Amino acid sequence: MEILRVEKLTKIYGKGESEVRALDGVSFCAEQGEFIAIIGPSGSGKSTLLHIIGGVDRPTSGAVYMNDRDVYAQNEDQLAIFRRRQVGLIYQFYNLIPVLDVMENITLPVLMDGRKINAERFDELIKTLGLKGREKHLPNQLSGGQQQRVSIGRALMNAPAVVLADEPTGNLDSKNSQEIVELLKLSNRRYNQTIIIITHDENIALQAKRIIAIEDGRITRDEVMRK
Amino acid sequence: MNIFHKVTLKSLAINRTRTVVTIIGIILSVSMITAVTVFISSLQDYMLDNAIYVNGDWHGAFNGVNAGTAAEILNDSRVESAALAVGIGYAEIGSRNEYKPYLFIMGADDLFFERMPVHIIGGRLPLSDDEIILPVHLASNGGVVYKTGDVLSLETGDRYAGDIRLTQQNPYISNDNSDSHIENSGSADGDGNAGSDVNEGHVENNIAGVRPEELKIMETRTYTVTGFYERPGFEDYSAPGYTALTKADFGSGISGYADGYPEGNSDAGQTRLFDIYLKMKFPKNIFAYVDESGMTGSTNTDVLMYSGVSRYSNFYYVFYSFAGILIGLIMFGSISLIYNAFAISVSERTRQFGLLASIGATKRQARGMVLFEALAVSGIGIPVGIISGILGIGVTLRFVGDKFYAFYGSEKLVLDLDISAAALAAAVFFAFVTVMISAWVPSGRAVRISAIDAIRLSKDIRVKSGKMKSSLITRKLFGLEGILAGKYFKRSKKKYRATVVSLFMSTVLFISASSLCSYLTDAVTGAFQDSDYDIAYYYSGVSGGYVSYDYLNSLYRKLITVADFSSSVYAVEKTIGVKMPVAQFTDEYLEYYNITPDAAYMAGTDNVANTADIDDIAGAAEHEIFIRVFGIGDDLYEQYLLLNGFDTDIYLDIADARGLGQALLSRFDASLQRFVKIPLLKEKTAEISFAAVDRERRELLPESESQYIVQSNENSDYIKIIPLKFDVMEVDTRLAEGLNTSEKYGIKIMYPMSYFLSKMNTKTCTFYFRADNPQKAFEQLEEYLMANGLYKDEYSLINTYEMNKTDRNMVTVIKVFSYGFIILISLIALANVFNTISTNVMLRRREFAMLRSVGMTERGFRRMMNYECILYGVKSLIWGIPAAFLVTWLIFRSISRAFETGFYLPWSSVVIAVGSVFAVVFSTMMYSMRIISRDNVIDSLRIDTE
Repeated sequence: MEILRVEKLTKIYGKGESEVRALDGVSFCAEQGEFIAIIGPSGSGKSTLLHIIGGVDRPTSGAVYMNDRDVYAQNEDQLAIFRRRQVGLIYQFYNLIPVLDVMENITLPVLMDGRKINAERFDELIKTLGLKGREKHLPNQLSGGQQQRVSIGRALMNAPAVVLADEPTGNLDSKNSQEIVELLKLSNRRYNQTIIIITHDENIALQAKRIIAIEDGRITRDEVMRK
Repeated sequence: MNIFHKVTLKSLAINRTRTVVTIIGIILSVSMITAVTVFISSLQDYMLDNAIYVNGDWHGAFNGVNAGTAAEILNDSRVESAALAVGIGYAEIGSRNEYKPYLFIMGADDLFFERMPVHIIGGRLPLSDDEIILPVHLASNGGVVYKTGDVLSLETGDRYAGDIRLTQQNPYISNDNSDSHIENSGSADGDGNAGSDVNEGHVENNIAGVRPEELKIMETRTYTVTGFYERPGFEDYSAPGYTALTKADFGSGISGYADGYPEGNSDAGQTRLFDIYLKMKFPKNIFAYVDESGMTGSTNTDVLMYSGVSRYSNFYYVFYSFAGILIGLIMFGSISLIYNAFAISVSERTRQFGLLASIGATKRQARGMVLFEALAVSGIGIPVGIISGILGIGVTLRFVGDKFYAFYGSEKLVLDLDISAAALAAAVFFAFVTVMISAWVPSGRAVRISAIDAIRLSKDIRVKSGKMKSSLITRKLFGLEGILAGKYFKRSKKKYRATVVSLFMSTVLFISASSLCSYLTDAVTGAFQDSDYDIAYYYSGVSGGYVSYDYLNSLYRKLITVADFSSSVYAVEKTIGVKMPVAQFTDEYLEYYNITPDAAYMAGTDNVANTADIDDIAGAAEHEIFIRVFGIGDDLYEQYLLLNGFDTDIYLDIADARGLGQALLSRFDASLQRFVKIPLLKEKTAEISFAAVDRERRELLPESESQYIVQSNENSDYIKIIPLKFDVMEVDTRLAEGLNTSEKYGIKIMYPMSYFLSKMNTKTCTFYFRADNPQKAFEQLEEYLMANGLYKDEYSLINTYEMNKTDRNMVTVIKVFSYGFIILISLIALANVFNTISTNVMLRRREFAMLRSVGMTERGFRRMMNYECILYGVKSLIWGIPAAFLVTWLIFRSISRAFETGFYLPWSSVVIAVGSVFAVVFSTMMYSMRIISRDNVIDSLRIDTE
């Protein structure tokens, strides 16, 4: 089942001489349960692509369909709700809210929705993440790997259609990095979750089912590694 | 509590210092706003007290109604209660005022004495129906003098014009001009009682121009005078009788009074008329009640207005617009502070907002976070602010509340704290609006932060090239650190502007408020009747004749034993207009008043070639000046002469005394900031003469001839030319005590009294007293004068000490309020500056850590900070001081219209302002730097999110 379709995405920064084409007609589709790695050199447009898919940045032209719904045809409030429910974003620098504890950070998307927390799901999640017993800790009381696990928890809490991770291991040592990738793989397997991950790490890229390479804002390679 | 509120509260808790300063800012502004609104409500209450003091505490009134109607009104269910007075009758008492020939005796009930403006001056209220109190204007206006304890036997009756019975509301219809007088009748009462009586229209229609009124005597009554009271507000100015009050007991119902005339009288059965002053259960109903009654009633306009029942007056306009301006100023000052606090808070959390947006927070939720922050800080700030505002104004009024009569109202009343619900509601409303306005704009900014910008954090550094050049001077003085500071300054101009603007505002407010205060104080002090006596008694011959030295001397001997006076003088006085050659006056005087020799005279001279000519012309021209000539009790004058080393042989020669004169002009010297005395006459000795009419002889002539003499000024039989010689004293020599009242300019000459009286006649004499306890001495003297029939009216005895105190009180009140305002506004500005500067420093933690990591020393940091401080200070002062001077000049312009003053700048305030600007900036900077210097370099470098 196709869950994501990206059509002729173009993103242009600046004007005239200083014009930069971050994305230049990018198109691809993703099926539910795919695990895609996006690779490419710095400044190739990976992050821009991810942000546009995640609904935080707007394309200059082109469209993103998620579950057959045109993401950027929505108004600002609908877009916010879309981000809240359909997408899970993971950043290199965790981006946790420093004044909230682990539990609050993880359940933030649910809390923002004003819904009740599904205790079962939270329990399962926190056990999977290996954060049991640390629910009341503040982010600055955790290690980098733990913080990144919290942010993965936040991304998964709402069981979104797509999880987008922007170099989630860029700030971690190899042991922690592998743990994070295992977690993502687990979620991909267990929940049939679609995962798109940007990485510089060849090791991690090779663990993906599909690799998309980007250079100068264009897809230069798109191959399925395994089914 | 939802998650957004939680994030907000936790962020507030983490930035404790800023939160506290923000709350302090809110407390300050709310307390100022509360002070204004509560002051207005207290003032309104004070106005009400004053209105009640003057007009009485009632809603509506009917005058001259009969017993039946009175009973009906009393029993009406809408009426809460009513004060009742019955007209007992008029009696002739030999008044010298031809339009007020009667004493009008009125019987009043307890409620009347309680609610109506009956203010006892001496003695006590009547306790029975054979006791009476008299109004003081019976003596001062009517010339009929009684004293406490006197027993009056009065033949009382009613006034009639034909068959029509007249009341106090019908002016006297005299023999010769009944026409004109009737037309004046009615409602011209001037004290807010816009009413008249039931009979009035009737009377006018029937009797205008018919015949004079007559008094039908009905009975004889005997009263004992128990006291005197102030001229009552319920007596119309055109009323024909002075209102004397006795006690009436309506305990057995008013019907007992209805036909209370003695039996056997031809008019027995004629009813008495009542005045009824009522209070409604619902004051609003009074207008309808009066309308529906079908009678001509009146309403107590002022009282109803100040109690908020009706509001058709300037009061609301003037005071509410005054309050509006003040609140506007305060809100302006506080919004800039509170706004800054929120703006800082938002920009500090840019990333947080972006992050929340990226995981799906809507715009409404983002805005809600900022507004919740506003609610949270106002939740503490507003209640505390209101309490401290009430405390502040309460304490202030405790100290200056009894001084407000200097501006308005009776000195017997105190402006005390009156907290009305409306005042509190207004304060809460304005406070809330202030905070919300301050939070709204930053909340808009929080909404605009897009997720992607926040994630990239790309907004902070966006510099246009070409704007970052540093001056050579900066490089020389402050080195690399100075350049860095300068660049930072230029890079985030917006952040700095807030600080500079708030410093600018506080500078302008502080300096201009202190100049306003200083100019006002000058003006009020300049207008002081600066006198060297505490009490003055103006004797005017009760019999109306000329005074004699012997009588005055013996009166003086008696008066000085009445109270404990520390010193005293008595003097007769005459003011005469004299024409003196212009050449005799000093140039300063002529220049000051722009006096030039007669223009016509100048025009006739073709060519004024040299100064000698001008002097000639000037010599011939004359200038009229008023001279006050005093005759001082001989022995007291002798004491004065001896004390000041003057020759008694010359100045105390009763047959041909030389006078001692003072000729001064006082002028405001802007450089000294005070008035200086300048001689008015060139020579040390002068001689004048003036024509005095011998009034005593003239009064014996028939009126037409007397008129002729006055007009022609010719008949020397009735006119004496009196020559006066006098020596001019030194500028600093004072006159005899009591005579040294400050005047703009003028000539005063002193003579021994017996010499004065041998030349001129006068009917008055002034006794000047000083006492260690002026108030007590005043009261003792007042009592003595009243008891001995020497007290003519309220102008007979003047408590100058009290009046001067009034002026001083005015200055105190002005000072307390303006300095209070300055201090509070400055505190708000201070909190603002503290917040902006310290946050700016905190936000640059990472930058500082980076500088430190590349080897910047503590000294280097200090240099950088010093440069920044100087930039702040200089920028704000460069704009602030000229703006403040401009405002000062405007203040001078408006004040100088009314008072003489010179333009000067409030340098001491300028010094204070400059000093405090730098003190605040430097100390805040040092405070923030000290916190930062505790940071670990590597930790700070790692800071990315917060």
